[in-house]
Amino acid sequence: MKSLKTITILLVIVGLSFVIYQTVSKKKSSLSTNALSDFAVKDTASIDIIKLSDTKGNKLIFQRNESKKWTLSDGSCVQQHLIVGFLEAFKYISVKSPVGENAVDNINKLILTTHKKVEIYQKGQLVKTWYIGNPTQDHYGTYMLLSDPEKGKSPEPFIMHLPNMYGVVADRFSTDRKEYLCSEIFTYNPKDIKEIELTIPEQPELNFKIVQNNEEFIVYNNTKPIEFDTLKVRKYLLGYKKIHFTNYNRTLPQPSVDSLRNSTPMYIIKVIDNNNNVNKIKAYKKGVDYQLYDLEGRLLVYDQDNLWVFTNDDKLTKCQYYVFDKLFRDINYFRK
Amino acid sequence: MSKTQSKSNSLINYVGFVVILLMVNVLAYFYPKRIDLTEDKRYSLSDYTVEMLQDENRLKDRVFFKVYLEGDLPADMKNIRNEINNILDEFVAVAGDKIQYEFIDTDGSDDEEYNDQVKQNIFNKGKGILPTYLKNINSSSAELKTIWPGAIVEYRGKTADVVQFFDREQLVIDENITQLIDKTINNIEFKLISAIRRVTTDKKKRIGFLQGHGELDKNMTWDIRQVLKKDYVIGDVEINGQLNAFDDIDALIIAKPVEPFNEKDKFIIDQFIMRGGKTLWFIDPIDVNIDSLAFTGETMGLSRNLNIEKDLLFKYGVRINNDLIVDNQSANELVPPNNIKPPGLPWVFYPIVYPEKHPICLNIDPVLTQYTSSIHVVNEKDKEVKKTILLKSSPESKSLLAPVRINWGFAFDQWKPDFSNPEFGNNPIAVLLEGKFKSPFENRISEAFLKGEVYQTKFKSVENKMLVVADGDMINSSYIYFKNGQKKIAPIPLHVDRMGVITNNGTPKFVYGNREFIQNAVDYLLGDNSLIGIRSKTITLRMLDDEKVAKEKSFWKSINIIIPLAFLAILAFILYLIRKRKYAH
Repeated sequence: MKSLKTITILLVIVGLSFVIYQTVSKKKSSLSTNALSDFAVKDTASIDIIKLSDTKGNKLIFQRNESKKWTLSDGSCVQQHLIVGFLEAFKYISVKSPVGENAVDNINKLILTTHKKVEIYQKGQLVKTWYIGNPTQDHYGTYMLLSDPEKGKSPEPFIMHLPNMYGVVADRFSTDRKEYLCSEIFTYNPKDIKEIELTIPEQPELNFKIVQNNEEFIVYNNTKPIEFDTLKVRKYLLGYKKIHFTNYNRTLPQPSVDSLRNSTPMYIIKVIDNNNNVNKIKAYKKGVDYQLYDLEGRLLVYDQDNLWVFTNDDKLTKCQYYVFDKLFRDINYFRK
Repeated sequence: MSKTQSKSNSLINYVGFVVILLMVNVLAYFYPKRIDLTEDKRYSLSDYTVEMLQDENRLKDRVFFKVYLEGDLPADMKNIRNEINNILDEFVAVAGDKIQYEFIDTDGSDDEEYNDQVKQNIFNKGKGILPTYLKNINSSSAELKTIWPGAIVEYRGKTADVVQFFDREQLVIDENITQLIDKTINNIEFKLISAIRRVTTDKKKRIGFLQGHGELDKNMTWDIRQVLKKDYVIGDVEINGQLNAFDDIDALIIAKPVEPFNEKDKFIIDQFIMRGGKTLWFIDPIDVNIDSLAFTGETMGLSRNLNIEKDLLFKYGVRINNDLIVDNQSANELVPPNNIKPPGLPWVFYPIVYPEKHPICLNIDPVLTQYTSSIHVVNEKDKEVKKTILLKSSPESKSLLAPVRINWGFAFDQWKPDFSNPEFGNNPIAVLLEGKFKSPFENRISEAFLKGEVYQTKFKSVENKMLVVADGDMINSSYIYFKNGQKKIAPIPLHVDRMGVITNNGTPKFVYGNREFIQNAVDYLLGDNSLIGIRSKTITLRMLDDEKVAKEKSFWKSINIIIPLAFLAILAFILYLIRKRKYAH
């Protein structure tokens, strides 16, 4: 009797196993259940490497050094606030909506052909890889696909966004190296400046040179010392504390850059610090990019807001008069 | 059978039983079944919802709900949150992958600045979810918490709609808000499914607001336009003698005309109805000059001949009476000289009318009317047109025949009309007509026109519906309102009491159902009865009786503490006795 019971139980188990097998083999899993949507990395403090690349072959590697500063893999200085923008995106990124069922294949193909790839490492280990595609039609979301080192690539992309802002996530992750490089031209503590020499090639009579020795100043006009207003000199030196360029040249082709280099500069500034390091820049007028008129209706030849500056390492950068005007003085400014 | 074999058989049986249980669980995962044993079928979706969620031609893509009612919520709000969760779960059970949702806590991050930015985006300059401020009166500090009782709907890659589960600027925690909770929970399924309907509708129906007879313009009807705009295409239409003036619209709203209709216009409206066009009439047959009342303290309510009452509407099945309804249940008005400041005094010419039992009226708040007239059902023998009264004044009301002398004296008890006879009360204000209407133009049109091939005149309509309301102000938005006793000028929604009468807890005393009434009526007329069916679904909340709680709180608390302890003590005593008996010898 007891063995009959056992046989019945065994038969039921076999029957159920068959039904389960049939069910599992027939059941098509929904894409959404397999899709990976957990893009966020909450612990951004432990992120130490970020690799950016795109389908055009650009590649950038950012790493955090021991002093917690982010640099490029070759040690180049990068603008820290841009990396903070990355970290903020890693922390707060969230799903705006799933991709429409009918659009999944199409979006997957688009991401496959054009994407930016962001690889996030924590303590040297790859934790997540984002594939950032195009923005949605209304530009409030971005198509993104997640890859996990353990689970692999998600079969389905998602429309992602940062809930605290409107806009496109992809724009934060530029693969243009120049966009990240530090933009400092002058970052001097006034006490560290030994000498500043400003040359105005078109009006050499207005040139000046300031020499500092233990906070004692001498101001020269073409080798002749003049009587000057000390307060104005101090104020002028303070102007060298934080001078940045806007961006590297993106518009001028190389022949035009060469022509510019061979033309007469508007200003030449040479700064020598207490360690005798020389930082010399040349500033040039910049032509207007498109037809512009002044208040009296005259056609403008030069840009009223921006200028070209060759930095100390001979890189052409675009700068603003708003930043440089305080440095572009002449000898008359300092006279008593 | 040997003992060992018997033992091993028992073990196999035992293990086999556990394995079967596990396998049944696995199968239950693949073939989930639900049984709703609740009396009010709380966990069951209405037929229409199921039908829509299963309709692949309609629900072509995924709908994603982002619900922001989440986080540290008071018990009442938690109830609403859980109910939303339940219903969305039900949706998923029916529609599968097509419905997806997520609950998001707006205070989820430890970065306050980030949370504030998220809230700003959700609010989206008033176009997104509207917050509710929860005030804790029991707290020593004036604690205010903000909750976001709504959801954002994403469809086909863009934010397609916003669902507002309830719309109250401020609520007081621990205040009795059962009615609000009840109403909100009842409406969740409706709100979610109508959002799905909205975002998945490819072609919206069109509603025209008639102009040309001094009707309310778009500023005066902005609130109802805002509401209807979500589901329909809204616009103004003028007849201008064109027979095809209404060709592009499905429904016509005639909002408080003040100038008479000429015969041509009447004919064109009539033919629109004969061809199945839906109409909503908001008619004020009595002209009350409010300026005269304000400046002189007295005015006369005089009959306004619109040239539609005696033939057009009469033929369709109603007569709008030349009278004004005064009602003891009324909204307030500023009454000089001593009550010129808000909240003013109850003004009998502003009856608050109560909806009858009909899908259009279920679960809506009382409706505010102003200088309303009564309406009469006529030609009851005509079985082809079904007439249903939707709104009635209270039993404590009566009709005053025009010309009606109106003066501020009506606001004071000593001069108020005698409302004691209920026979004078219950005056119909709104009537729904359904059926095949007969045209009043039958036998009035020249043969030459009828025989012409340019236009085919119809004298009997197809199956049709219309709503006739004897109050034009029911749809009229207000611009002057009072808040904390201060006069403000800004558009206010139809459900808000413009006098700002408040309860002891500082929450509004009156919330009107004008908006829902008109919205339901439009849905009903345009054939979305099924949606109204969901809206009228009632879930009963088994709330605790506040009075009983106050009275018996300590008793039940003690019971809850004492009984488990006593049970433990008894158990310990029994164990002690057993041990004593076992080990005594």
